[in-house]
Amino acid sequence: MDTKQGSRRRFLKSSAALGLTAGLTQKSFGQALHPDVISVTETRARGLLSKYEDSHRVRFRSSNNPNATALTPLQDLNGIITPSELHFVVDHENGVLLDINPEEYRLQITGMVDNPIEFTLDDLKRMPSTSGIYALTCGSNGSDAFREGAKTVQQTHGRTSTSEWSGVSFKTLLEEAGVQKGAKWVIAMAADPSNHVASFPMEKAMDGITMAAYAQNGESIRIDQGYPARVVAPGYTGRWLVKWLTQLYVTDDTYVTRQDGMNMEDRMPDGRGFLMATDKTRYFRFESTARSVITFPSGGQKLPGPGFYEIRGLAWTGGTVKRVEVSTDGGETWQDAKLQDPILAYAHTRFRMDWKWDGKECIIQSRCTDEKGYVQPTVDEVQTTWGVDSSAECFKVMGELCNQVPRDTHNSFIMSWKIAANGEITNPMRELYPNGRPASLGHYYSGGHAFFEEDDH
Amino acid sequence: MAVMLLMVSYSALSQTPGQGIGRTLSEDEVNALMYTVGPKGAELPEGQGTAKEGAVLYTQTCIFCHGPGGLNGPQNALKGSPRLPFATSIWDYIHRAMPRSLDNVGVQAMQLSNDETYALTAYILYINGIVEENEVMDANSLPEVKIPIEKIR
Repeated sequence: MDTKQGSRRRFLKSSAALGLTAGLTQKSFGQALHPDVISVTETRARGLLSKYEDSHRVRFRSSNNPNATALTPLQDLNGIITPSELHFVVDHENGVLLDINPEEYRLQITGMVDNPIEFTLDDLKRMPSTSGIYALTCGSNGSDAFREGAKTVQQTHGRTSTSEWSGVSFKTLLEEAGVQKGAKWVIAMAADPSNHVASFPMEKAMDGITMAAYAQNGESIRIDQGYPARVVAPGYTGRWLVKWLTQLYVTDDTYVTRQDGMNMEDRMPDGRGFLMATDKTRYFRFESTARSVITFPSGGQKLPGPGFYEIRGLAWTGGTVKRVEVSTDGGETWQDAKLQDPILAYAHTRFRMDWKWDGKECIIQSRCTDEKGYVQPTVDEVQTTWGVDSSAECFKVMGELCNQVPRDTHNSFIMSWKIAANGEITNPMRELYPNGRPASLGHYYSGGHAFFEEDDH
Repeated sequence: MAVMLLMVSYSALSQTPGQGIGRTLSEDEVNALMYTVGPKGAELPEGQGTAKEGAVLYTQTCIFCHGPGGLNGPQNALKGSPRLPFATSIWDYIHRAMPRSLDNVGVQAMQLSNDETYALTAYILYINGIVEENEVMDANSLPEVKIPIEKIR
């Protein structure tokens, strides 16, 4: 036994010696490696990124808010977790970020509570915690597929990312303060310069997983995720996810704050908005709908030639992904893709499908179905059909009106990628649907024209 | 049976099953945080203003970002698309967040007085054709303002 180990050690040692001389005798080893040797002279405080890797966020520039958006490079990622530093950002801050001293941070619970109370960050960190893997998605994600210059999946769909989020549930916080009878809404407020505010129905606030999150993928959340604490409300679209959270205000009414009302509305086909100016018809949309997008092969990439490729992508919804289908003939026929474990509620689900490309021009698409039976619509279907928010919490708040509450379907349309005979992949949405842009897209970015910058990294 | 009774009485007592963590806010601290105004306007404070008064204030404080008459400024236009369903929401946001500057980052600065906030709210409603120039906006009249649906679009 000893002898065996000893000889193995000797063998490894001589292999290493061979390795050192490999550069001199490369022909006898076939493909040669020419690695740079990095001397380790100090503690590596953070992992090193190879100089050959250059995955990074890009920005979307609009005329009055140039650095508000940083898009996740979905085409570069595998699995479902987005590295924290590549997580997308959509700010309403006009280029200002807060770096709050955690010693000064306070979270206050006010309004209809028995015990109005204030927590420090240390308080939050000693309370019972909750943790889960959840996707965050901006409601506008996908709308840029129709913008001129949108070439890559990062540009069309880069406003979605998945992390493991940890923090204290609203339920725990609210129970500490003691919610009074008759309270129906919780309004989350922020310290940020735009004073972002969002209204949560009590049922959502008390679901036990909606949280004040202080950690992302194991470490403290990043500045541009709202350090030191932000809202994570699984299933809800991005506008509810208040960063730099400072106050939870408990009320018996929705407050229809500026951010509840502006820029975030859905349109019914007849032009009605989801918020109406009468007390009887006050419409909110809450949950993300079934969405998916192929990340490989995708726009801007080039296939070297006919043959095998694994088609891969991401699917997500305001619940659990049940099925993803892939079409390689522009939607004529569909095949079930494999769903890769883990398949988690409210998180990205990775799908993949074996494919042999015959070298002919084609359109590839993916279509997600969620556990409520909601099927991701085509662009044409978005024009005429809108999903409704049939969630239990919506029903509890809105009653039968819930069946008229549109969910944010207009940006969840099926995305196409066009593969040319030479293998080049482009975004064909403008040519496929010259008049087919979902009706409400123009309502985003009303501040002026918007355009993509060439990568300025 | 005894165990069950114990459980029932425990849950009845535990309306606030907290851990005793956190610091209870004083009445003054709570009052200072009660600045959120809902659609019914019940929280609106005393004070009043008209669009005419608001126009003067607007040219002093708001025009640099929002442009003359609420158009063509570097920030959001205020004329043509207020896109808020309730006049009280406009009051709430102006009072909460305007004028936006680096000075009020991280604090709820409340830089404008109640009268100023009423006047500026009246001015935005006026340039959008919703109220008259001399119509007095206060805690009673503002919640009564109905914003027509086409103004919300």
